[in-house]
Amino acid sequence: MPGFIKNPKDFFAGLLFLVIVAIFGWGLRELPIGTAFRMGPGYFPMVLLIILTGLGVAILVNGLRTSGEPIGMIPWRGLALITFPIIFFGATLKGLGLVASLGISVFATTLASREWNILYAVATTVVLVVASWLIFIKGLGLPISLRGPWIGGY
Amino acid sequence: MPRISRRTMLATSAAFALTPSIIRAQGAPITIVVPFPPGGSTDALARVLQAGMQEKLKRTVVVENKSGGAGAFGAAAVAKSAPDGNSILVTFDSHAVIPSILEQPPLDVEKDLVPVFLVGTAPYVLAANAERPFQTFADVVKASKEKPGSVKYASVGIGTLGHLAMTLLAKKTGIELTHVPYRGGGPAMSDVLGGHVDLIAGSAALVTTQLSGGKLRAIMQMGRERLPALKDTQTAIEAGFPDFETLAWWGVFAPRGTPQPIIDSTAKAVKEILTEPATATRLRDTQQMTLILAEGKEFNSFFTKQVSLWGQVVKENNIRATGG
Amino acid sequence: MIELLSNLAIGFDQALTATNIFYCFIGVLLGTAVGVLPGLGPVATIAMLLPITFGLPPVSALIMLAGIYYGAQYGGSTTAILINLPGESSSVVTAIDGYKLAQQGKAGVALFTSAVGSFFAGTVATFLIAGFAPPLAEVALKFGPAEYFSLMVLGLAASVALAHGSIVKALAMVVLGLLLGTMGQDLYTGAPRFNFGLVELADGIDFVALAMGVFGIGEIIRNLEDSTERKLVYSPISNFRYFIIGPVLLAVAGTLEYLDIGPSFNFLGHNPNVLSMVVAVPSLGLFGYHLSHLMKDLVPTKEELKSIIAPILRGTVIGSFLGILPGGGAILGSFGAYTIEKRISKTPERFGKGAIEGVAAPEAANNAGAQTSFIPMLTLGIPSNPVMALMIGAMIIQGIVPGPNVINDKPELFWGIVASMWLGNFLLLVLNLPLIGIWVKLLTVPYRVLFPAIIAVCCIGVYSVSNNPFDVYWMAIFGVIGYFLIKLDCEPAPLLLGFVIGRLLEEYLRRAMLLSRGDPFVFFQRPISAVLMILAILALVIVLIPSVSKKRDEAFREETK
Repeated sequence: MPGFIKNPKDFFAGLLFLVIVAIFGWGLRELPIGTAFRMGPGYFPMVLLIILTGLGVAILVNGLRTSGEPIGMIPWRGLALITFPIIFFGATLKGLGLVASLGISVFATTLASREWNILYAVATTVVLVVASWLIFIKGLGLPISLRGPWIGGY
Repeated sequence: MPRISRRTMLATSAAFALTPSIIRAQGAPITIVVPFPPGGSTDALARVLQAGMQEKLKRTVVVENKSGGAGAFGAAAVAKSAPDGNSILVTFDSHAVIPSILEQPPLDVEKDLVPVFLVGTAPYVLAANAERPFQTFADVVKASKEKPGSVKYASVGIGTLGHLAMTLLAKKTGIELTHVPYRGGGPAMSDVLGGHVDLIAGSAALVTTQLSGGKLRAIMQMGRERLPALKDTQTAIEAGFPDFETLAWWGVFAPRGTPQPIIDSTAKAVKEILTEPATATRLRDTQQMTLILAEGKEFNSFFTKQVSLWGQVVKENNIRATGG
Repeated sequence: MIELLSNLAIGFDQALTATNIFYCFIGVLLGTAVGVLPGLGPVATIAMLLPITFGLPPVSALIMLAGIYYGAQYGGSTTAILINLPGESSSVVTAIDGYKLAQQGKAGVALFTSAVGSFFAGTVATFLIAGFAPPLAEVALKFGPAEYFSLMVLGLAASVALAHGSIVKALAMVVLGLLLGTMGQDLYTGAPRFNFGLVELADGIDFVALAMGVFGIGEIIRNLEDSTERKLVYSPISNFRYFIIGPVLLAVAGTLEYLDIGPSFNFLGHNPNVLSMVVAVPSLGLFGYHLSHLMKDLVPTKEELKSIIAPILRGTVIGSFLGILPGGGAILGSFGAYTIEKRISKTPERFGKGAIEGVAAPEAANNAGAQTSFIPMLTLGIPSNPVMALMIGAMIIQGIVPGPNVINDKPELFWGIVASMWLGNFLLLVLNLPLIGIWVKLLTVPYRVLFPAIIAVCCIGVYSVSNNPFDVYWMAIFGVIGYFLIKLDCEPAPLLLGFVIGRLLEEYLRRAMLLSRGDPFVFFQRPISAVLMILAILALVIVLIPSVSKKRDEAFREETK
């Protein structure tokens, strides 16, 4: 970590807000601003972006001036093992159906636990798939198929 | 005190038990797409049709609310679905304004959908907060001439028929009105009743329900004839605007290419449901709706007239989906 | 007063028929169930059940739908407390301190407080509706766009109290929330905003995906930081079997009554079944017995009890008032109640770390607001939220014309619904007090099993909002963003408030400016608006001044070192 960052939590928070401002600022280009009397779609977001820029800079500067705690460890493995299964679930639910899609996702998320063993992982997966089937499909009648078209279902 | 009705309870319990299985039933259900959020007049109509069709066609019928884009998103979804009669659109007058008001409409309402059934119409009504000095539209014109832009009217959104009708009236009389758009009738009515806005151009159902409260006064109705519920309010034609008519309407559409027999049977089912006296009375009481019950060709000519009429108003007044 | 009593008599006459009690119960039960499950909210449930209400008498139909609504408000708090999953915008606040309490092994106390607070608030709000609905509706109409805008600004200014860290960061999170709220179509023109070329962003981001992401998923990732995974402390429940026996016997009694086996007798015009009563009486006794056991385990200590009474009262007042405003006041109820508690507390530093007042006040406000939000719908026919719009839809389907005439033309409907609200709240209390035992038991499940379960429920729940995989992706993305924001000491609650209020704030701002023809001083010219604006400015000044001076102290200390 470079030495000029005295308070990394503030510094990076400020940076994050400014990055968001930049992204939204880019999206603002095509929106008509209008006047204060007849505000266009871009007026209100523009005001917000100006305020957020100010706050972001203030937080960033604070990160350079006052000292603070370090950010600490980030559990990259856990982060990945939570995020990707969720995305996998979203991407495959329609195609694979509930059993395969949820089963694989849940099994993958159990890997994020440090107290992993195969018995616990399989048991958790089976129980959750069956419970989800009972609650969401049987009980609430959500229109989700058990076996999707990719693996020969409907 | 009524004794517990076992039959009702049994029926409801059964219905609860059956809901999931109905939805899961083999074969695709008929989907009625409503391009507006649940709770509005179109949604209510769709649910009346849903219950009736379930019974008449012995098929599972689900209502799906796909709102957004002034009703264009839902309509486009139906236009894109398979023309097998399993998805139909139940929509509202704003459907005719889609091609003119949206910059990039996601569908061609005249080509991508076939009109199946025109359920009914109801006139738009102009009403004023009862504390305002407006008795007739002539009073509004007078006040606006004295102070252009001082009279404010609420509508349920930019490009809705209420907005377009008022734009047309303002142009015909050469006055300037301030338009305040809302999302939905409830918030618009709330501000008119509270006196924050002077006038409201809304559907007959929206206006008539509030008259009994004494906070609202109808000043002009935009149908050809006076509604029974508004027999003391002059029509736009009586007020000196010949042929001026602004009608809310509700209709059923199917994707282009749906086989004629399926269209016919759908239209027949809808007609049967709506001609039941109880249903007809309900629609009249709650929506101030005059049932038209027109099929295919007749509906089509009504629809194309609406599209060109309002399209012209939009174009001539350069109403864009930008600014107030 | 006499009129009020006779009106309530009409109402209870309607609500206390066996049929309507049944529908009320079904309503609150379903509501609790969908409230507990994230994603599937009351709107979807009510929309799904509308066709079923078709064949019911209007009073029963509306009683059931109303039950779903406040049942769901209630169920949402349960998951907020237990696993940090606020399924509804109103339970975001409950999650802040409720979840901390659960982590400290006080989930039972938090849930008990939530149940009792909600019941009390619901009761007060019901009588408020019964006594003063029409004049209160008049007050609501005084609020125009300028007043609503100022109210929202006050809410946002006060919301920085939701965070217990840096105020500037909390403000930045509010603004970020507002910004995320502007994604999707422009309210007035329908112009697409910030969709970055993605069709899936045309409607913006779904609240459930955002809330599940930053709260639920973010929290799970954070828990994986510890080498020894988080173990929830819990207080075991003694005599768990009593929880089962009472309700089972009660169910048997209900079945017997329903099937009407054997002789029946006359009781005040009803004809209860002899056999069912024989089972019902001891089961009620057992129920009471196990309730008393439960109390022993879960009832707050005397000090805790003392400390929740005043917050519940204040929460009820705030929630009742804000709930009346149809333009989105109800959203602010729980946030406002929390802020006030923190402000007037002698130990504000406990807030955000498990202060029971931080559960009591918002829960009371939330439920009071849920009840009083019926006022504009019942007296004027104006819906204050999508659920009320659906209730109006249900009325239309039933052939009832909603509007100011309902109270006169259909007194039995109006008063029946009002009375059923109290009944529904009572049923919720009876239903949920025993459930607390089961919920707390749930927390004894090891975390390595619990967290995949939370993820599974979140995934299916978010997907079911609109059957759109993109909502699930967003949840994952916001989970990561939420985690990093927490790491950077940016707390998510103000973000969610900003997100929820964003669209309303913009709508009112634009409308107010349209009405004032672009004059920004309108917010200070109208009396109600001016008072709210001044309060908002004061609120900001008060929170900013100590932080400025504190920072000066810190800087000073730095230099002297």
